[in-house]
Amino acid sequence: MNGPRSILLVEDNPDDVDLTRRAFRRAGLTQPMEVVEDGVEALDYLFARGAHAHRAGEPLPALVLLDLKLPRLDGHEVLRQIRADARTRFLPVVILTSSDEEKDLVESYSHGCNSYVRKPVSYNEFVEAARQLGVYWLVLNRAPPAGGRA
Amino acid sequence: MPETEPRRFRHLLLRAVLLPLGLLLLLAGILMGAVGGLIQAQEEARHSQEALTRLERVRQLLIDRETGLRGYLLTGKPAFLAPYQSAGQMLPSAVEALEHSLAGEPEQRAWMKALRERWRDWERFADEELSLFHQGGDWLAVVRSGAGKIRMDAIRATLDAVLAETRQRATLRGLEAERAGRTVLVAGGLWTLAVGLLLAWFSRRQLILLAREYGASLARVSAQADALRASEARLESRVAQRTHELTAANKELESFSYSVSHDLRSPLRAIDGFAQALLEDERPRLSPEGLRLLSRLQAAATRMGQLIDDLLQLSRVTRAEVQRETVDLSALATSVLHELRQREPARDVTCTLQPGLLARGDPRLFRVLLENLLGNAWKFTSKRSGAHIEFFSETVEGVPHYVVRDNGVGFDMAYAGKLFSPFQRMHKPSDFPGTGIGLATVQRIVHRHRGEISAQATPGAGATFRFTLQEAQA
Repeated sequence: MNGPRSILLVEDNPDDVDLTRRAFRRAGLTQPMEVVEDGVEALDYLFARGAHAHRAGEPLPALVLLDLKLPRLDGHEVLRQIRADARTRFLPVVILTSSDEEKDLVESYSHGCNSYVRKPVSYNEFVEAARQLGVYWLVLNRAPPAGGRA
Repeated sequence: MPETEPRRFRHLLLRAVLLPLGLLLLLAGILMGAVGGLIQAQEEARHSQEALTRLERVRQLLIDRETGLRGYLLTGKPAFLAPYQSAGQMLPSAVEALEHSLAGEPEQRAWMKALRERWRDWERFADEELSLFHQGGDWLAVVRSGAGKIRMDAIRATLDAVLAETRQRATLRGLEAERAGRTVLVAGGLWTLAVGLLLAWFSRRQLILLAREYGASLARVSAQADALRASEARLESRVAQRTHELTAANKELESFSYSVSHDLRSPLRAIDGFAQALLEDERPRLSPEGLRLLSRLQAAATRMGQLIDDLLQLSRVTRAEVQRETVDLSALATSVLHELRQREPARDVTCTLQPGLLARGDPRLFRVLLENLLGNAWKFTSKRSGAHIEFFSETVEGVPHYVVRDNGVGFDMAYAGKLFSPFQRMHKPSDFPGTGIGLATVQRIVHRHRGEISAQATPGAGATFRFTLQEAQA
């Protein structure tokens, strides 16, 4: 379509949203960043329904950055539904969270996340993490044909 | 009444064993007495028989003497004198023997006195006859007078009387011995029968008592078993309840930790991030003091983040399921030290690691343990040259002790008691950074592997940590 494909950030904390935007910008990543604030909205966005019904026909985002602790539907459930649907089965999903719990790590990978990144407290480290993430998933990595859309 | 049972049992034992034993001993004593009487009776019978034989012998010797003398007087042949003389030689000892045999008979004195007198009388008369014969006197007239015969008849009469008496007595004693034997036999038999019946009766009684006792004990035991089962069931339900409560508490703690991990870190990241944003965007408008304060803000946020991380690790060490596998601690230590070296390549530290130290337990927890202990050693040797870190094992009383030793700043043993409590520090944060949670974590890991840890140190001369590890508890 026209212009680079966007990044979908699923995050309910406005501070984290601000800082993530800033970190990606500082890391030199220019893709537009769409933000949804809970799990239900994330799925609506991806499947173009509800408030996002107008997106029907729009391409999927290039990358989903998914927090685990979300209002309504948590990140694990969102990931499970993404992987359960043929349209989004191959969508790159990176878990971006504060949690260092092994349980979360294991569950995320067993639901098929592509990466698990723990947000560092130090902002400089966060910027570095965002840079590496962007470079890998948006530049180096080759997405599957048609984003897996059947 | 279980407390009276030993006494009852003793009582039972007494009746069942000691009483029959006593009766048997009594019986043995009485039988022995009876048998003794029997033996004595037999001895006396034998004695009487012997006296009879000796009486016959004396009588024979006297007859030999008389007939020898008579033959000599009639024929004048000295050959006839031989029996006379030999009987004369033997007679005194035969009489002596007879007297000995008769000893104990009531009339013995009278008999022997009469016998000896009559014998001596005859001897005197025989001597007279012999001397008359030798002098050529009228010996025939003496013989014819019948005085010798009278004397010998008197002896014979005496001997016959004694013989008759002794024979009668011998017969009597034989009968007595026989009767005694029969008595012993019958009495012994009866007694044995009585004791046997008594024993049988006692045994039966004892068995009945024991059976009753056994039944009572059985009932008691089964009642106790029932009570035990009931209390066990109660205990089990209580354990189940406690387990349920504990699981709930653990779950609560888990979600608490989870929210700590999630929710406390976000504002910190915001503080650090926005401070950084300020520094980046507003730097030209900030005073030097403002810049300094912002960097202090960031440092504090970073430190708080570290504290949260360390606390979470401490709580995870307590909650985590412990795996059990054989872990090469030496390899683990090598890898930890390698990481430390990479982080501070400028440091010159000599490390001595004993190879092949194995332990059974959780590899992740062992890594955290060694990261903390070796990390401490690394940190507290940072202010000296010739830093040396050792990791080895020594066996004390058959138990392997793992030792991490350094030659760093050490600490004052006066505060050693606080060493393993969280947030306790031995040094100022400006001297050595750290949250003071590492050693608490180490101790929990050691305890979860049923081990002990202790530390020794001298200020300025290094610290030594010794710990044991047993197979982790489930």
